[in-house]
Amino acid sequence: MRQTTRARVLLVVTPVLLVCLAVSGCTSGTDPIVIGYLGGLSGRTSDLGSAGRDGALLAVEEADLAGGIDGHRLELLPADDAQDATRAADAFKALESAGAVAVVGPMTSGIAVAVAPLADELGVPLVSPTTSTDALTGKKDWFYRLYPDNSSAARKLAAVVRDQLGHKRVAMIYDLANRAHTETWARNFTEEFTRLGGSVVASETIMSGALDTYDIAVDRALATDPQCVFVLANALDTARLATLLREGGLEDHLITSEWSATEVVIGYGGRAVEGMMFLNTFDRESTAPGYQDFAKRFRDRFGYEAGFASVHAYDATRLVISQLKGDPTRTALKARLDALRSYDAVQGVVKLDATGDVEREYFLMTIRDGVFVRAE
Amino acid sequence: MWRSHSFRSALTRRLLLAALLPLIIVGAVSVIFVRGLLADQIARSNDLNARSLVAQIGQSLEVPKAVVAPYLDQGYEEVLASEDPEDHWLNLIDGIPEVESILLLDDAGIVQAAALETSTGMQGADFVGLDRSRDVSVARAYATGEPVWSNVYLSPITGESSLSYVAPLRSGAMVVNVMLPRMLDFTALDASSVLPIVLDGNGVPIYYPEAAVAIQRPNMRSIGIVDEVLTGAPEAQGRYTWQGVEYLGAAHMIGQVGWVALATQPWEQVQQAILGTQYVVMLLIVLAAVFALTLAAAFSQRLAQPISELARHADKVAHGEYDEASADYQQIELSKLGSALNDMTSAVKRREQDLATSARQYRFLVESLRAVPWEYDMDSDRFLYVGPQLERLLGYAPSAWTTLDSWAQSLHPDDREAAVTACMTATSRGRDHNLEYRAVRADGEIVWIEDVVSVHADESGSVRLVGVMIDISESKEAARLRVAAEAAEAASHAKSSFLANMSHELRTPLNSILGFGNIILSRLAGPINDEQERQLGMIVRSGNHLLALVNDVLDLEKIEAGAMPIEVDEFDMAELVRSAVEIMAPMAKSQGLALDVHVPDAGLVVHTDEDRVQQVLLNLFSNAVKFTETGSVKIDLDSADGLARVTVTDTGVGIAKSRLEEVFDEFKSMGRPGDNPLGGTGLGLPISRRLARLLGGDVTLASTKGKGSTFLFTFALTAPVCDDEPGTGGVSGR
Repeated sequence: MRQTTRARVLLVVTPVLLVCLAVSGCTSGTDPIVIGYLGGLSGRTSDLGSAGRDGALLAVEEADLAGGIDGHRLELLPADDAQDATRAADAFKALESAGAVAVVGPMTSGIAVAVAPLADELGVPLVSPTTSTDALTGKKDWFYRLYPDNSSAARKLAAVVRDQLGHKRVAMIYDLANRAHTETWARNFTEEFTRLGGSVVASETIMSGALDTYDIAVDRALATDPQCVFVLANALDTARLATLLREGGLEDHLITSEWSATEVVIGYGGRAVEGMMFLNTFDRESTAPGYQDFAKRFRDRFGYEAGFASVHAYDATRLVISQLKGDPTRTALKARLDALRSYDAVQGVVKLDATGDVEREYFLMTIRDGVFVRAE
Repeated sequence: MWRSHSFRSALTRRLLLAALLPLIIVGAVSVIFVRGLLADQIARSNDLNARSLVAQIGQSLEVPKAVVAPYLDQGYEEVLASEDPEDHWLNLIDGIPEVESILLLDDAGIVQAAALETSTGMQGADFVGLDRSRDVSVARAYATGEPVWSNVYLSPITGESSLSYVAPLRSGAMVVNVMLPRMLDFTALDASSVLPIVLDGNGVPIYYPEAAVAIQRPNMRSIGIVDEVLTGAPEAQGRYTWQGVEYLGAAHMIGQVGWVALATQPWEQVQQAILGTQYVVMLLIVLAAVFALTLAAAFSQRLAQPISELARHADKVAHGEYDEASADYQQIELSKLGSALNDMTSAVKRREQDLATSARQYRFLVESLRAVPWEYDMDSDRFLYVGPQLERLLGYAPSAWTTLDSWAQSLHPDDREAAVTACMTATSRGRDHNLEYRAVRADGEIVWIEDVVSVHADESGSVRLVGVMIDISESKEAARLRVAAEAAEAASHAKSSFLANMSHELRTPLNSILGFGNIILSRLAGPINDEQERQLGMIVRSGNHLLALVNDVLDLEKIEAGAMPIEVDEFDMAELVRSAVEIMAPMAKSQGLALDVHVPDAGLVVHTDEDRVQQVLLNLFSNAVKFTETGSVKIDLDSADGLARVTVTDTGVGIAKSRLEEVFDEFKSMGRPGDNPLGGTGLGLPISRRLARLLGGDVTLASTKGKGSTFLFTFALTAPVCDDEPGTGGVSGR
């Protein structure tokens, strides 16, 4: 009886198919290892957070492609801190409860200061690629960073401005909207520059977005007739300030931090930011094969050039991944990070001290014909 | 291996097969067809959705163009000089959600005027003076003099993914910045099962409906169809696997910005849609099958029911119930079957009745026979059947006969051995045979039995005897009686012929005695004295009497022996009567009696034996005269009914009623002393009657004692013809 057989086959096959469909939806190997990413993905300064996320994503994707960790897939879970302490805390908690073995981020000091205690509290390693605030320097806790603290960066820059560029009179304009970052920066720079025999003739502040403060700050800075102006602001604000400064007659060097050094500063600053000098924690023109490979991969992957945020986020994420092998738990990771004294970044070796603070090479960069280049 | 099934289930199965087979074929074809059809349809739907995405994005991309269009043939100075462009643009921007800002650049790329969407919290004036000449897109537009779409970037103003349209004017340029999240609003498309995805020139989503995926910023160039489009094909579609999930998608190039519009559906979803439709098809088929089953069951029930009814009817017939079967069916064949069954029922009923009648008759016949049927099996020495008549015939119960010996015990001891031997001998030769023997009834009476035995041997060699025992006692007795009667008759004949012969022998010497006596009396031989005359006279008288007696006896015996010949003559009876009366007239006259004779004047011609008629007439006349002392004798002749009638009436002594018939008995009328004082032998009347009967008539007597008698003599006008030999004679009454 063929009909009966056919009906039986149908009766058996249908539930089996359904079960297979159901099961295949639920089980696809072991659970992935989740790495959180915390950064500003919305709001005016989302460029930094987005660039960092892309770097982290590339690191995770590459590691995943190379086989993951001990058979576990890797997954980056990005979260938006929206440049707001409260939202950042919520995002961090969300990442924690999502099982993130570590969180890469945040990208800005203000958020880092707000979230670091939470990392201690929840016991989640927080590895920031770009945070530099001194407020977190020297602490032995769950917070790690791969970026030198402000004081070291500021001292380094002061030395460059004073010794390499030969300026004695520097006017300083910095943004109070990112006070955690800028104030220590300004203080350390001033101290070091003064120590080196220079003089910070003006120390003006702006409030990002409040344009009238820009004019005042520029006027006051220029009024001191500085040899150069050191601007500590985001890229767009830097472009604005540079334009105002050039309009105000500044002809000499414009000094900025790495913070300002994104494509935006060129796109909106134009000729005003030509010759702008800043210290970069990586060399955009490095011919090192490792970096070239990375730069290409990043370009291919995201369609734009990797900036410092992307590079550092990539490095930070790679570091976290490299320390997860064998025991992908938060405590094990912390133990390993604590013991870590150096790691191979895409450009050279980065050294860490016992408290997790970083020492790395700086490169003096400038903008020439609308392109970031090494200043020779 | 065949099992027997009910007609109904067989019918159901065949109906089902007939319905299900095409159904299953149609189903299988449909299921396969549905797969192809749906896959095609979904691919088409993806393609349409991708086109729709391209169209929508194309429409949005027209917005910045439309914004700059009025100014294209102007220089930036003219634009600046026109009345309050910033306000105008601000209104424009606030009316067009996707536009974030509009910038007017001079020849050097310096922002001369700007307007920003109010919600950004920034003023256009904030951007005036900024140098955009080093921006990649602006630089390219200035270099080529052609409008340029920028790459996707994060706006430093809003932080949103943005796109810039840089349109060179106659002098300077206009930059329109567009916010992608507002531009890429595909909520309408989201309603369908299709995922609308927009990828930038690098293959990274600038729009992805699922935030969780969007935030991963996956590079989807690894998808074949995306790569095809990104490397120049205007469109591509097909199945692909991405992040472990299979999809069916269509990718279209969005030419002016180098993006890719991808409309895609998880293959599982497609498969589910296909499966769902296939299930529906299968469900429909199952429903149809159930329907077919129900219908087939109903049909077969309906078709099989008459058959069951007819079968039940046949069963009833087998059990002797002869109801009328229904022949009222829609199907001609069933109606015919019903009718045929009815005909058969009637025939069976009739035959059964015939059989019953026949059996009853047979039973009646058998049971009413004075015969006992029986059947005996030689091999087992057992009577298989003994008729119930045995009880009546011999007084034994039929069950009394079990073996041959039990039968033999009921035979008469003298016949027993002979009967058994005869039976066995005949049987051993295989011959049917008849036995005759005496059986002894239970009450001891002897019964003659004839046993008619037939021998039946079957192929296996076993032999049965079938027989009928007939009571022949009566026929035995009848045979015995017949033999006795025949002996008696022979004796009678011997007596008659002896008497006839003896009479003849008596008459011859008697005639000699009388002749010589008369010669002496007539003295011819000499004189005689008186005494001698008296004594001779006594001798002659006695001799005459003896002679008359001998003649009468002779006649009587002739008639009795059938030896009386009849000689037929034609004569006139009236004449004969008159002549007979004349003979008697002297005697009557001597007694003083009157003779009254009436004969027909015309006479009466008869054809018969005249002598015998005269003999009877003389006897009757002489008797009448002899036994009438006074009075008269009346004689009448007439005819009626072919008979001549002679009536003789006297007025004599008469005869007592009790003796009326005795006068015709030869043995009674003879030898009664005193009865015949007037002479005569006393045999006249018996002889007359026998003669009359011989002539087709009779002599009868009516008389009253003391008053007289009337004798009626009848005879046939024409004597009866007798075919017999003259020697045997004709006897009246035969």
